[in-house]
Amino acid sequence: MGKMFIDGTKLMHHPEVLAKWKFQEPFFPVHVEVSPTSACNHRCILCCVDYLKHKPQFLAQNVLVDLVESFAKSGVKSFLLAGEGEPLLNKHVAEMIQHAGKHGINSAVNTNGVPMTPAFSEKTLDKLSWCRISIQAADPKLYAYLHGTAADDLQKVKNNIAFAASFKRKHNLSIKIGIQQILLNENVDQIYEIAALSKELGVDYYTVKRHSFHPKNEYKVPRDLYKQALDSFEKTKELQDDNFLVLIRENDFSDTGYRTYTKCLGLPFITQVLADGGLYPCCQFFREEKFCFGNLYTEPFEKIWESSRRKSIVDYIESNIDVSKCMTHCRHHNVNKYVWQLYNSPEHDNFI
Amino acid sequence: MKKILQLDDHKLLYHLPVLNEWSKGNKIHPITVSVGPTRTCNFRCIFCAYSFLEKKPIFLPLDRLIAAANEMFLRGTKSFFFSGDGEPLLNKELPNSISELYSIGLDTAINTNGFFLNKDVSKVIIPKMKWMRISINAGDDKAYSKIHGAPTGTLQKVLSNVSNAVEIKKSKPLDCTIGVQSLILEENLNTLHLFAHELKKIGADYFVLKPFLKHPEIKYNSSVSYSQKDVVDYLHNLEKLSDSTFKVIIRWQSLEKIHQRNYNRCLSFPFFVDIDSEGNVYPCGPQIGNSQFCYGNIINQDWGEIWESTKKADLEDYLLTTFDCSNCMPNCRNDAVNRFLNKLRTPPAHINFI
Repeated sequence: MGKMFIDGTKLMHHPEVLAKWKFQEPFFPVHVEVSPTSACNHRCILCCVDYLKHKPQFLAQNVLVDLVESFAKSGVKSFLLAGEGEPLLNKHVAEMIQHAGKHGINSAVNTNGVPMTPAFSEKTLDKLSWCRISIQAADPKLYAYLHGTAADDLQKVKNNIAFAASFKRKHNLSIKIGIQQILLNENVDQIYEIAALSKELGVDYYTVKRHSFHPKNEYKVPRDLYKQALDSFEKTKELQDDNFLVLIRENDFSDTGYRTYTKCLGLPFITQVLADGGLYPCCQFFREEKFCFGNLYTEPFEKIWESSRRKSIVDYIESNIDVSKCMTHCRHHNVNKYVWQLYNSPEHDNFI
Repeated sequence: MKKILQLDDHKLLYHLPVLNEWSKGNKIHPITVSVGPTRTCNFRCIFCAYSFLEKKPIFLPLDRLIAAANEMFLRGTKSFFFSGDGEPLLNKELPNSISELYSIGLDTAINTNGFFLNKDVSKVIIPKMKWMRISINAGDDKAYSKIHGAPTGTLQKVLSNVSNAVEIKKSKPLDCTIGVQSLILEENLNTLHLFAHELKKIGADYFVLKPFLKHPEIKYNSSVSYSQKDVVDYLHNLEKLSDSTFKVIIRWQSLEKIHQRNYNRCLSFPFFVDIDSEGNVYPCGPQIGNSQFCYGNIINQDWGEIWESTKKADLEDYLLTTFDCSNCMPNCRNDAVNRFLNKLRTPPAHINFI
């Protein structure tokens, strides 16, 4: 397996898809983000879907399994369980992950780790490509405050992670388990502590990244907060060894969020499935009827993707949406930057 | 929207179908061809990468080049670039050949010292070319003569040729980009600022500055340290002369990565080909003269014959599996493409999570 790279897009490794895009041939997204539920056991102050208020909806078992079938048929290569709520609260996700494994589709999970029980790990870790657990503080009180939960949740999460990490090693699994911090005013002094905790728990890596600001939320982080953390980053890197990586997302931090592109061209490459069964272009337009491509309860994924409605929404966003007003550092941001470069070929491109 | 002028890095990304074939392991045909129309030169530049080759009055028979170009175009080649081991415009057939390549549908460009770029030549070639780059490595006559090994008074003649070329371009206007290039050398460093002002006045599209690259077989070396603060500051100041019609371009990427190669396989050679003044075909310019690296010869072979030969297949196989390029000339023409392809060849974990 190659090195870990999580600080930018990996789209250049799909020249076949890029060629289709360039010549306006139809293609299915490479990656899909799926929200198995909008319910969440935490109320993190940094949550980018906070404004949706976590109405408890759950994708049905058959929807999740059929979705995997659709991915297999249409050529979607990977999906991430994350999104609007805590994905593992949907009790059918283990089955979905196992099903994806059978079809050779890569799956991954973002979780707060509370429902990532040993039973869940035993069923899924051999099938998952990676799993990333959100921990915003190593101090239980601060953890409870930042995650909007009880202080003893941190201990539960630690136990779950320690089990998963040792299970992985015992069975020599290829999954990469990581712990992720979002850099906030409240946890800027926790960098080393969270990384040290990560190493102690036996995961593969610790990573820290920027907060993404959604215009419908109130909570904000100063754009240059990372400058206060530069010394901690350096100190934390010293924890790195053969079995443990410290991945400071330096490209992400050095990108202020100012968009160098004026159109969102990345929508055909990544899409979103929400807990209502709706297929949406991106987090900016979660749950907005006008931007919903279609619903998995009434139509299969591939039908929705090939529909004229989907095409007209994407065209509308590409030509009418002012991307400077979108959520910063959105999921499509790095893809957009890359594709924008391809879209605007320079002079003399035949002299490679 | 006006397109960006990109000189650093590479433009392989704009050839996705070819890149896609390459990444599937399929055979591809070179996108761009560099040609040396002659081995003779009216100058003796101190930095010349080909100074180890004896300057001989050898002229490439350009009818053979056109014959090869016709076939190469059908196989997917997009552009021809003239420079090579001598001054291209000393081959008097070249202007007409540029017109012929244009008729085939190929993009053309030239690097020249500008001495023979008189009005008659410019009128023929500027309407047919995508860009021309004139190598002028100093802004005052004395330094110019020393660096180029040319008689005094030559700089004035070259600059008046550039000025006429710009006039011809602007009178239409034609879209041929006219740039001037200089290496950054200790012999010219203090002349560059005034020179940049002068080029701006003349109306060139850009003035580009790049580091000196030492070919392993040449004696000259430059003592300018490209990372030295006063040099960097000087170059940053030059950049400030840029405006909407004139650009000062510092090849920062080349300056930065001048010393280290982080790969040992030249993966990019299938995308390029070099033809020297004797008609020999090589995977790259720095190997000109090395018979082990010669695919064939366009004077006595048709392109198809060269391209399908066992010799070419064997050399290709050697380059792919055995040849270690870590001791090659630094920052060679292929370097940026090599860096990109080596990245593609060693993907990180989880590439499907784009």
